[in-house]
Amino acid sequence: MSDVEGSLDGGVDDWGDDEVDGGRAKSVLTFLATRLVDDPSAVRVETSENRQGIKLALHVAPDDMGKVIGRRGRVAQSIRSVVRAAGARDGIDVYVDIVD
Amino acid sequence: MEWVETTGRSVQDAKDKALDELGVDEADAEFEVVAEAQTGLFGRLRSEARVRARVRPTAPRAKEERRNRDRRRRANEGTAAAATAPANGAGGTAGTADANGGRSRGSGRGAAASPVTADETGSSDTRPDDGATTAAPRGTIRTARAPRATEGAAAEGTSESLDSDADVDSGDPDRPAPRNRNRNRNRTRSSVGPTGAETGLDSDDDDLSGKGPEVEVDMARQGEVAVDFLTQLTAELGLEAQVSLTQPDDDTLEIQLAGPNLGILIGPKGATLVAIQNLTRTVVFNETHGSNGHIYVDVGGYRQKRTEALTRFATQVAEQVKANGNRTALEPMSAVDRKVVHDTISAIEGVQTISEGEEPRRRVVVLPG
Repeated sequence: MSDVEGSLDGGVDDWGDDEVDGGRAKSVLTFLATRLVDDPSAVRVETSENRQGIKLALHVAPDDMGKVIGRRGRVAQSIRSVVRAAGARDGIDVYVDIVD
Repeated sequence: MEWVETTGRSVQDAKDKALDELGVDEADAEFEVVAEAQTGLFGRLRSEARVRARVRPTAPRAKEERRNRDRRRRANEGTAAAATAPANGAGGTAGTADANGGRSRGSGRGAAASPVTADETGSSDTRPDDGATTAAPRGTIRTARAPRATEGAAAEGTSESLDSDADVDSGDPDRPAPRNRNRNRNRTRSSVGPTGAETGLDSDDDDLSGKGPEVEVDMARQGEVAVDFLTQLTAELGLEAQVSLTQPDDDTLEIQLAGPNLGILIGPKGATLVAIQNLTRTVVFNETHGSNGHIYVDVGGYRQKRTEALTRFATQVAEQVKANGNRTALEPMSAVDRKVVHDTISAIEGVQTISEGEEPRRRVVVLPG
């Protein structure tokens, strides 16, 4: 399920712009988000690049915001650190932005 | 009381400056060495010694800072306080402590020590306790929480467990803490040793798990979800990992990841591992709607190695503090690591520990006393 999400979104973002590739980090983020939310179909990850590295913008259904953020941002924090590790594996700097 | 922070070429130097600033004699001041001076190449000073100091409060140090971190040990302590038999059956005897009008903390911890019977012990103990509420507010609250109020939160508690150390840290200002408490604790320590150590890392949320039968019903399902989640996660990361599940006791699940190149899952100081563990707990909770147990994730035995190393380090620092009498602040650590340090040092006579600062820079301070 997460793979489908990842590749669909990835496709749209990545074809036009080869540089911005979330790589594993993106699929990991998609996987985690999908696993955490109630409505997996609303999970979307957009990739863009700026000075700070590659930004992965995570979109989820409004009702699921709490699920990916968690109490005191604990879940968000954990997601960030796992995704960063995934990026590190590809040798890229990624950071996660949770978009509401 | 205001702290001043000074630096100097040596610790003594910095102390002198601090004393100047405070305008008191050394005997009336309290110090904490934040950093020793570091010498660089050719004896040049690389960084100065840093010391924090304050005027020693006239009243003795607030007792609530001397906290008892290990739930199991506390359970036994409850027993000891009630002056009953030697500290063995924590759950049962703790009940006695209560009936005797002993501290209700005993019962709270008793419940924690024997999760299976916790429900009965907990709730039956709570009622008679109500009378003693004012005498021991914290214990009562804790006791009440275990079986009832947190049914829902208990599940969430898994994701909170890492934080629960912080919860304990942040205190129970009303807690009665007679001085000899510590003695009891140390004496009973040996008898609880292995169990205490086993649950050491997260025993703080023991009381959240006291839900009896449901625990077992859910565990298999929880294990499945956790293993599935971790298998997929490692696959997404492009790692080959064997995911194996063990259940060391009724309400604990341990998932071991083994394979090549898994260092990435551990991360700096285990931060990534903690994150993975948190996410696993969250997912398990979401998908099973009732996780009462403890879920631990470990990679290649990392956690145990880390605990051993920390224990050695903490012991070393404690000996140092005992020898030179300086308050010593350790570097910031995760809640799990702090817990290990607290547990280790609280078993050593003549030193105590507190936690200071805010996450993520919260750190243990070792003080003589």
